[in-house]
Amino acid sequence: MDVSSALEAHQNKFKSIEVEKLVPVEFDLNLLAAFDTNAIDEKKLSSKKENYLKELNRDNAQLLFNQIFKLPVESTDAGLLAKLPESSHILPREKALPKAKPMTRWEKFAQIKGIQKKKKERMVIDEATGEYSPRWGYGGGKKDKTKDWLLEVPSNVDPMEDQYAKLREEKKERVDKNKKRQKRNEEEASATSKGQDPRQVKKKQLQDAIAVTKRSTASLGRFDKHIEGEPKMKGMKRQFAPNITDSKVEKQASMDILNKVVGKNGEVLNVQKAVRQSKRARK
Amino acid sequence: MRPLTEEETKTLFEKLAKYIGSNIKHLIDRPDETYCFRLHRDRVYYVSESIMRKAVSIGRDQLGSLGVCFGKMTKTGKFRLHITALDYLAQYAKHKMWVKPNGEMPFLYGNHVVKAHLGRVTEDTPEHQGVIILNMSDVPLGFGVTARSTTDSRKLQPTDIVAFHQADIGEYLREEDTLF
Amino acid sequence: MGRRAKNKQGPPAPLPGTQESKGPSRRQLSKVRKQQRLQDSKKRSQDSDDDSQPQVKKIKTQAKQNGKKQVSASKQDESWDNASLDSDDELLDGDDEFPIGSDEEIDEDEEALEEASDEDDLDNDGVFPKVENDFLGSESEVEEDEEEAGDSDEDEDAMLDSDEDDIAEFAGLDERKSRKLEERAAREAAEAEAELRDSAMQTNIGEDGREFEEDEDEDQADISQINLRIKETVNILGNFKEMRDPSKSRQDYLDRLLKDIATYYGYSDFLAEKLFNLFSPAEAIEFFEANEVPRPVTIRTNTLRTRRRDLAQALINRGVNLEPIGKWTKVGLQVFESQVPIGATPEYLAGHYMLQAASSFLPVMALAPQEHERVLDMASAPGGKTTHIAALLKNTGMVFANDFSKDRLKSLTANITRLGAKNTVVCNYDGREFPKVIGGFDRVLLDAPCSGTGVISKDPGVKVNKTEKDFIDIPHLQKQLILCAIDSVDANSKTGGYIVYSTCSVTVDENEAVVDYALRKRPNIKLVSTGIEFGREGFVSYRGKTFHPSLNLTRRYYPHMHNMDGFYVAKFKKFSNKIPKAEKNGKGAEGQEADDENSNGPTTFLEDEDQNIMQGLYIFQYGQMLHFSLVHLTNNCGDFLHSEIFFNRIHAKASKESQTQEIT
Repeated sequence: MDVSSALEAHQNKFKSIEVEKLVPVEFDLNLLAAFDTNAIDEKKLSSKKENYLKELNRDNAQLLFNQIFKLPVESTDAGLLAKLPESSHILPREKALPKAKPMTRWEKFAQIKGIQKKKKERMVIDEATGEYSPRWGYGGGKKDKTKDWLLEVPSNVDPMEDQYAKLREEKKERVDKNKKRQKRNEEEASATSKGQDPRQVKKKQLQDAIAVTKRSTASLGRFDKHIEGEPKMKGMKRQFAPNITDSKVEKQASMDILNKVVGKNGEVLNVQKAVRQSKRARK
Repeated sequence: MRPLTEEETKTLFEKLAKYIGSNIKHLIDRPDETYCFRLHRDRVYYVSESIMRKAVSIGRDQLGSLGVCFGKMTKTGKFRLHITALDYLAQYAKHKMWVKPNGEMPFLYGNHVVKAHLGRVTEDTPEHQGVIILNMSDVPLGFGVTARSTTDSRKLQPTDIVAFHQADIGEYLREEDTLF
Repeated sequence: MGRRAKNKQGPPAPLPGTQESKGPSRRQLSKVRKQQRLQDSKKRSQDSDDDSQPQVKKIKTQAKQNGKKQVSASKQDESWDNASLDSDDELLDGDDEFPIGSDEEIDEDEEALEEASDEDDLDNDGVFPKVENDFLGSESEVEEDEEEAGDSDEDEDAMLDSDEDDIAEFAGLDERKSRKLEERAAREAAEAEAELRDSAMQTNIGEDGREFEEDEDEDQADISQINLRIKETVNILGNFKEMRDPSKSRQDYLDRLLKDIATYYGYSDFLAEKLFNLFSPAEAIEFFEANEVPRPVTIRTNTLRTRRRDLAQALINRGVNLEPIGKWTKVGLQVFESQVPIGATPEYLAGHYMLQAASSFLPVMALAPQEHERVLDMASAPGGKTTHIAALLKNTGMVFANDFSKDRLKSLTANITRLGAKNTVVCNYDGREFPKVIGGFDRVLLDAPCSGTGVISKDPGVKVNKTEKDFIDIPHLQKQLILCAIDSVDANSKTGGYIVYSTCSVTVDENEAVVDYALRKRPNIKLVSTGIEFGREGFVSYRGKTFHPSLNLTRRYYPHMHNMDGFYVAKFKKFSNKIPKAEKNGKGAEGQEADDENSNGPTTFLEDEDQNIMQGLYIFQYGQMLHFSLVHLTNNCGDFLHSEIFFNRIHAKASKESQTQEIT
């Protein structure tokens, strides 16, 4: 039996798996994607659109399958499975990269001095008791000794002084100081992030505050003493008509107002006079 | 120096209308020259446009006055007529009151006009009407507001007030410091 | 002749010749009296009693003279413009001060008046009743009346001449007059004696010299003696060749006289000399005398509101005694006496008139603003002149009333509005800023701030508080102002282009020197006639300084001549807006030195003149030093080099100056 002709016929029925492309097609097999960067034939697209697109798709799909079949294969219970490689494609980022946070004063200082940040354990051991306690935050403060039941009174201080109160006070000061710095850092950071000079921002805030206080007297600051070099307070600027305008317009405006005014109460009917006149007329 | 705002013009006209009524239009619409109202340091000036245009050259601090001062805008937004407006008020007055020679000086010292000093008065003057006060030789002395209408004032006692004093030319001496 | 008629303008001063002959005796007589008065007042301090008594007396005399007064009424009518007699009817209603007389009487008196005027005065400028022939004539009459009540009018007229002698004394206002009258009555005997002595002095020259000598060796003469001596010295200086003491030079006499004047009238030596140098000795004394007497009260009718006739009528009805000032003004009124305060009558408040010295009419009259012009009054407070300008403009055009002082702005505005000037803009600049603020005026009036040597009778403080420095500073300011005034004027103005410069000062530094300076600095101006026919011509040369010859177009007014404040008026016409380049070059040639010397002022005003003033001072100082060192030199030649250097320097400067002056 001559199958060769049958084979040939069968083979003719299908297209060749070989596809020629001017620019090689790129693949990301992990995503089972092929990217064809060849130019589209405009003529064919306009004349036989459907056909052309079908052809194009088939070719590219053929190429993709060719690649897939080249992949190493594992045989498992579920059958033959191809092992996909790592994705080579990178998705573009939707948002811009975050900017670096402006450095705090300490960070700047540390950078200049070359001080490295050292990671410290959160929990520290109290050698006397052998207990762990957090270095800061809730449950911390063991090392502050404020919770100790006994405190040594140094020999050179007033014996009646409350050492606990002193410690609490010191701690509070430290906290406040740090808070202040933190606030300052935030302010400066927000100014620099807007591209302003933090010093100028601060100055302006101060002057605004002064302006408010200046205006906050009964006379709106009109009779206050002025310091030399003090910036002039800007109040609300009222807008008036220009001094020199078209005289006709101005006259007309005045006449309009006059008509309103006089119409209202300028020429009030003199009742007495009217009565008298009508009486005379009757006589 | 600046033009009056609409609100200010309205208060001004309302006050003027008490004395000269609709004759205000003769102030605004003059045949000889264009005149305008200008505000400078709370005072309202009535001035010809040509003078105003020249006076623009004078600095705000240096400008004392221009044209005729009609009065001042108070801080509370009211308008107070000054005696300096008397010329125009007398010219266009609707109602006039003449005082006898013996009443001249009391009025010029800032007193009200009493019945005994009343020489003549425009007929049909209603109550609380702005009047120009003149002496018997028709020299304007000031202005005031009638206390009674003409008919009512006939029945009054000689010492009763017929017109309340508003301004008099004696203020040129008495109020020189505050008036200008 | 009625009393008031005599007060009136007219009574003409004697002809030049007769005045000469009479002059000295009259003056002397008056001085004797004055001195006696002074003595009296020294003895007993004057109190109010003195004032009240004479007034009673005066009223009596008035009553006596009623018959004559009617003349004044009629006479008065002539002088108001076209006044009619019917006005007199009102005037006289129930007022016995102004009784009407018969027409015949009027005629008689008018004739008499004419006669008198023919005899008396032609050279008098007829501005004001002159001191001598003013109230004084009437004064003497009053006296006559008391003594010889029966005398007729004609007799009095006949006596006019003899009366002239008495009159110089009574140059003051009526109150003053009556006080003096009282005093005079009290010391009639003394007066007679003085008169005797006076006449003797005139007739006998030899005696004169003797008396002078006696006075000469005094150390601490009392006031009366000083006065006597002043008189005598003046006499001698008037006729120096015959009356002089051969041992004394003219300078000695002058020094003596100056010293006496300073003591007697209470001037600082410096000012006494300055003022004295303006006049001949005899006239100088008249001037100083006139400064002791107040000027008459005058008012100006506000023609924006009323007419002079109506105003006069209204004021007469209020019991004010007044007359027109003179023919030269149609708006002025002179007030003799008033029963009401003249500054608070309803007419005053209504702006019918302005209290204003007669002299201050003059600059405005000279300015002669025309309707629809834009006029600048550079130093306008208290507004008399400004309102006068506005009145002449009839409220057309516009007037810029500027004043440097903010305090005076209020009264200025008050006066302007009171008098109904509606075309004014009041502003508060230093006059020197002016062409910059606004320029292009048709006319500018500069009534410059001055030392006030013309108004000493108003402000006697001037006598002592003006120093040499003032007479450098004030003219300097005036020069700056006058240039600004000139620059503020638009020469292309159709009707205007005029500048009037005036001061109430009589010194040459503040007047002719300033005007001359302006003429040199601004060749685009020329002096023109002020348009006022009376007044003395300005100096063309003064004490070695020669001014521009056209300075004779300016006018000076003196208290003793015109019975108004000492005043000066100059009128310029600007004929080009360009300041010629020659002037600028001249300035450049002066070089840096000028600028350095006056670095305190704005450079534009640093002019050769000022430099002269400054350098004059230096030269004066250096001169003293030089003198000193030269004296030193004669004794000891050691320091010669020093003084020579000094001298060279001064010389160099002086020669440089003279060169630059020639150029300009």
